[in-house]
Amino acid sequence: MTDALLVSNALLWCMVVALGLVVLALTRQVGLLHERIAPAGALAVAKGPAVGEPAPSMELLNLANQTLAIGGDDVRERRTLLFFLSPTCPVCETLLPTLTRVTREEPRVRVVFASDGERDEHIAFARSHGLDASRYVLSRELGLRFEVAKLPFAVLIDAAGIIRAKGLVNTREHLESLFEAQDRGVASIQEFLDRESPEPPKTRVAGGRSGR
Amino acid sequence: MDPVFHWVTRIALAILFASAAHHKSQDLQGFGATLREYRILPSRWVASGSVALAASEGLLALLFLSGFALPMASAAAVFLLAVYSAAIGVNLLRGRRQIDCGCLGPAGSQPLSAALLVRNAILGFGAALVFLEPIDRSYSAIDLLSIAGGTATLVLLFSASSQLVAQASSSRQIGSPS
Repeated sequence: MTDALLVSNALLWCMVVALGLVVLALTRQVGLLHERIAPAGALAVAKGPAVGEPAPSMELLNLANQTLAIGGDDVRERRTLLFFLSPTCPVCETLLPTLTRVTREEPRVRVVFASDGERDEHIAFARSHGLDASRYVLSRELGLRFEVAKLPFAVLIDAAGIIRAKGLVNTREHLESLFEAQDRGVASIQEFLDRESPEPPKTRVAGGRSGR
Repeated sequence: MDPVFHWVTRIALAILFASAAHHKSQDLQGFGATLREYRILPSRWVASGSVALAASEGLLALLFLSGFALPMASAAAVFLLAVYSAAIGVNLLRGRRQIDCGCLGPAGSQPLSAALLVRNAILGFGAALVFLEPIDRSYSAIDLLSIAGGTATLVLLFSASSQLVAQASSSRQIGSPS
């Protein structure tokens, strides 16, 4: 009798643990599905100057103490990617290698890093990440004009100074989606998805994953 | 309390705290950034605070496993979980739901939610159970099976439910207007 109970108990525990493993595997699969169906686009926020409007025209001082113009016509006909970051934002740091590569490989795109706070802290941050000090501006007003509430935030401005795409960017794909949005003539990937399906399911409406 | 329940709770808690300490020590800088986002500790204490939390979780895992100073370990674990819950609760009240809770380690981020408070309450109840002395009785082979199977199932279900909570909170965040 005791042997039978022992065997049955062992068998039951094996099956319970196996079921636990299956449940864990299923939840992981659900997580993977979540990531796959979430549109890889920058989350567009309806704050600040809208896409299609001219970017606020500003003359700012960069970390190398030279003036740097934001907005208005670019004499060299480059697009400007304005990237709002903070040295204390871990997600911003993960995007820096992609941005330095864009700076190096895309001469028609001017990447400008924007932040505010202690100048010395930013100089050390720019140096440690190999960022060009002449493309790094500190301006509280710039953030206020674009109404940046969450980081990392990026704005793509065309050569004529018009905002072409903007949004919260958490991944390289989100950054790419800004350029893709401009190429397709939409304000954001969210608008593109809305156009593709007139009645999108609820999870697709807002799109993109929000930042920390 | 029956020794089977005592051992299952003790070993499961030891595994939980050891894995939490491991996550934190793997990426102390990342955990520091998460801790700073909670906006509870002054920034100059964040670095030492993250080391202290990781170390105390590691110590709790050792105490639960070894059985040394068990009543103290049980009280300390309840206190630590209460501190975590208070930090989460304060940020939920502040409306800062979008920050990472720091529960999943470097593997992923999970926004704050009330479900985390429920989770911590259940864990705290488990930690408080360890405070009770197990009754003195002889062990049989079935007891060993129950302890091994129970612990494994508890740990698996805990990881699965943590993932479900993380997914539920992040999909809610996707759907909500920012």
